Amino acid sequence: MKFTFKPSPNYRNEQSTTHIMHVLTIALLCVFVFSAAWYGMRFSFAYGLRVILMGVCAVVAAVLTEAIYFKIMGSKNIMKDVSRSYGWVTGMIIVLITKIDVSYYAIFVSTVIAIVFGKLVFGGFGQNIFNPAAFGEALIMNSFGASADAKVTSEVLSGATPLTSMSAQGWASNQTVVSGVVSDLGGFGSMILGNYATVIGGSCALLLIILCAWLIYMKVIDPRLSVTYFVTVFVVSLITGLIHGAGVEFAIFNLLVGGVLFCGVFMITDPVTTPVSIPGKILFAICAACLTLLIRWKASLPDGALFSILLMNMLTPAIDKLCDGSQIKDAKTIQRKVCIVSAVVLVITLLVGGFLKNPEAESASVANQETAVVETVNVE
Amino acid sequence: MSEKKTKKQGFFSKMLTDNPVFGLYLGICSTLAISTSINNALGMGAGVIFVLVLSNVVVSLIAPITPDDIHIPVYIVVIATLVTILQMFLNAYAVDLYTALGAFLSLIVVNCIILGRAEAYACNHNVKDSAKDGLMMGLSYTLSLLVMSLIRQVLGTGVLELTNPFAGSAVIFSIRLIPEQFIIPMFTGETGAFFTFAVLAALIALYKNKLAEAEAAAEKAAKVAAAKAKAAQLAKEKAAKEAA
Amino acid sequence: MDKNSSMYKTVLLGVVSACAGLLLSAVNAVTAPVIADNALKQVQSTLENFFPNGEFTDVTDKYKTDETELIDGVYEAKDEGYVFTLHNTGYSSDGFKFAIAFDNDGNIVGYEGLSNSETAGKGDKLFKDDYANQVIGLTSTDAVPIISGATVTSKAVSAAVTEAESVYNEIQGIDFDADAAASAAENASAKSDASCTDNGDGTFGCKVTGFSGELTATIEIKDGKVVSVKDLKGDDDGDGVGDDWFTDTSSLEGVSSADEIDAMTGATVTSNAVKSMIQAALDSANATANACSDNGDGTFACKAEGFAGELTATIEVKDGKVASVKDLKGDDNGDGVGDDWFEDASSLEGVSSADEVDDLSGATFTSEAVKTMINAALASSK
Repeated sequence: MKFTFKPSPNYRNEQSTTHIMHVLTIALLCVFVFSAAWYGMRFSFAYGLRVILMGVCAVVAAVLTEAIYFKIMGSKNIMKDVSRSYGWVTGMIIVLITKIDVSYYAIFVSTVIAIVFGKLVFGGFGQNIFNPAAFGEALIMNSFGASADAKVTSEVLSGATPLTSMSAQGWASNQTVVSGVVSDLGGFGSMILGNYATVIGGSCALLLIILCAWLIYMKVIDPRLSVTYFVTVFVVSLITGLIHGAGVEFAIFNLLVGGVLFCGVFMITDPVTTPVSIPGKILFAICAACLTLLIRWKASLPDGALFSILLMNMLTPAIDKLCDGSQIKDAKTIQRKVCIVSAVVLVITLLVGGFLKNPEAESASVANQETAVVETVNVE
Repeated sequence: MSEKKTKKQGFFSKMLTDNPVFGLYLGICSTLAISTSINNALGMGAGVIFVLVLSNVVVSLIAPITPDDIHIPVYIVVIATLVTILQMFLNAYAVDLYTALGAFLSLIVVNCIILGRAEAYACNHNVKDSAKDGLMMGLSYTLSLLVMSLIRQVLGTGVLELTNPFAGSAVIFSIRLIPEQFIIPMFTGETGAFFTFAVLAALIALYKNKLAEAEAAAEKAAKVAAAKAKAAQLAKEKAAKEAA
Repeated sequence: MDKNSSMYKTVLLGVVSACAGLLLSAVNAVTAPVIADNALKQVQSTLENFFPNGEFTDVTDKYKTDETELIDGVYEAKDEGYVFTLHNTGYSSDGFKFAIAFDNDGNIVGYEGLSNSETAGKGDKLFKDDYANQVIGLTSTDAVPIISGATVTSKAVSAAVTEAESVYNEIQGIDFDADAAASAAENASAKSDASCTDNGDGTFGCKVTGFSGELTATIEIKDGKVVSVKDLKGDDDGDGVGDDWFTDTSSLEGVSSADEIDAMTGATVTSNAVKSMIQAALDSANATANACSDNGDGTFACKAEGFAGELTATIEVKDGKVASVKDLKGDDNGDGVGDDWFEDASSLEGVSSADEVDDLSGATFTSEAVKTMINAALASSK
């Protein structure tokens, strides 16, 4: 999607694209190093190494694909074109939102497909509609579940993750349930420091928060997107939690768990696939946050953040059209449109949240089927 | 000899450029759904050829006596009858193929290729030409389906397999081309269907463009040659005049 | 005739449709028998399991009506009997298929599961040989047994079988009250709703659904016999029915199986409920008694039914307390539930009764299994 429309004041042109991407790469490397160290210390050196190797695999796949692409397109200076296309960022993000038990082959193929069909087909860097890393990860989840390295899965990922624990409870968040799950994970303190194995980049909330602050300071990511996203997630889950009786704990839980932090820092802030205008960005972030929570609560998918971003990417042109117009003269009209849409989305999400139910309270026949087995220990 | 060569090239080239699926974008939904294995592709293709050829023949026969405003219902009755006959035969003699094709067998009735060719060609041409056109279109549809299925089956399951639908799925041959840990299951599903279709359509478009460019270049060269010849001719005449 | 006159158009359409119809019926006449044959061939192997060398004809269209929606096919084995293929949905929404065969004398002579996706170890028991043997030999007016712990699937199978029985009995002219059969099945299922918790001291706190509410009682079991039934209460709706149980439970003492209990006339449901409680308590005691085998060196190899399979462990008992629990495994179906037991069983050490064990939240079934094993080990060590 190429837009020649530029809003003013112009926020992003403070930095050159190269500088932004390089700072982003450094931030991703930080997460990588931390994750490798964390897996290495928590489980064994082999896993720390595996994290690094997966990263290398993805980066090589991405760069190779782009090199071949540029060769076919008849580029005169392949090295320069590849370095301007920043494929390795996609590769790194793909690995960071994947679980550690995915096979190398899966990573390689998914990265290739993500780069080709998620980025190059649309015209290369700056032209894509979908966030290619999210696209690649969706491919992995869809296609390569069976190729997961079983040994790694049983050793590393056999514990309950906070998401599965809560979804077993139906996300119905009365105080006892939430406290129970949180204390199972060692309390919020250790959740912030990342005490459980989920996706590779999700191990440490604290690190991501620090990186977020740093990237905002370096003017690499737009704070409006990230902050709006986090705040919306927090507030909506706060209200939902209050309806059910858990309150602040539920809100903090939703914020720290799953891909919310990682997506909020690295994926939602991708300037190519998000709306250009400022009210558009805020609308995008609010909708993405609501979608994340809806998918998380109601769908049986592992995490909502990823898919919410892909869905919102589809709507970016529509949002841009909605917020089209002189940003200064038509400001009031645009703001009003944005407010109406946000209000509708928020109300829907809150309604759904209000009606969340604990599955144990639901069908008695389910309970009958299972308790009957436990109590009468059949020696058949 | 050279004339024969161009004619042969023309045949294949025509198959690519006038391809109903990738060139004219007709009959896509059945292509996307059926092309998961070469068995299905061959079965479906054979069915479409049968219906296409016969419907073209019948339509070219009754077109002269059919008034314009009821020509659609009449053609549809013809096509639907043929498809139902095909269904009954398959259900009786090739049950596995019948189950594999499922709903898409009955959907041949609304396959755009069939009605499209009936309206665009068969009603205006004689029986022989219509039959030939039906055959050609059916063959290129089958070919496209085969190519897609080949790609999807090999990438998605790693196995190249052909069974005989008339003998209770007796396996004719089955080769594993890609070991099981390296298959990409996505290709047997809808995502893979769209990807493969997109790539193939792009390749055909590329080929068409190249052809168009070559043709334009050839025309230009021909013009230049003609101009040169003319100039030479004029010069010759002038010289002859002068000599006289 | 003018081509554009409506008369012409009507005639043309009529002629085209007529030709089409003729052609289609011709083809149908040729292919229909082949198609029917094919359909028959597909169930042929199942049919031959029941009546080897039988001559089969597909009579589905003759007997299948709108009311018998669970019946897929009816096949007559000449001079031998009838086979019904049925389907229904049980616990899994994917449904299941099975076949049942009757001979011409009103007996069930065959039962075979064809396909199912029920829970392993629970619902799928309905399609295994053990259950088949329970069904074969029943008459065409009997209700099929309900398996405890697989109530939903059992009821679904029972409903399908009742439909088949209705049709069969109609063919054979046997009197059959489908509704009575259904309620018999209901009663049978009520029997299996009893559940007991092991109190660890030889008594079991049991509850069951009675006639108008839940019945509860504390049942003491020793050496496989009922010693006493205390605090039996619950169904006191004042209608006087079944009250005899509440006033005097001495008739239940010394019973070693629910079959020994006489039902109270006019209080069938309450009696059935009481019987199932007794049976459940006896079964639990039995299971606990048999759950562990003595290794002779102070350790016991124990097993108990967990959530998704059988749990096993080696439990060491010293001075009436659990000294250690080793090699606890079995329920590792990867769902993460109950896995804390497998990682760290140290919370079980020093326990002198299962009551002291804290349930793992969200892992009730696994916890119960662990407790059963602990109780059994402690009891065996005495």
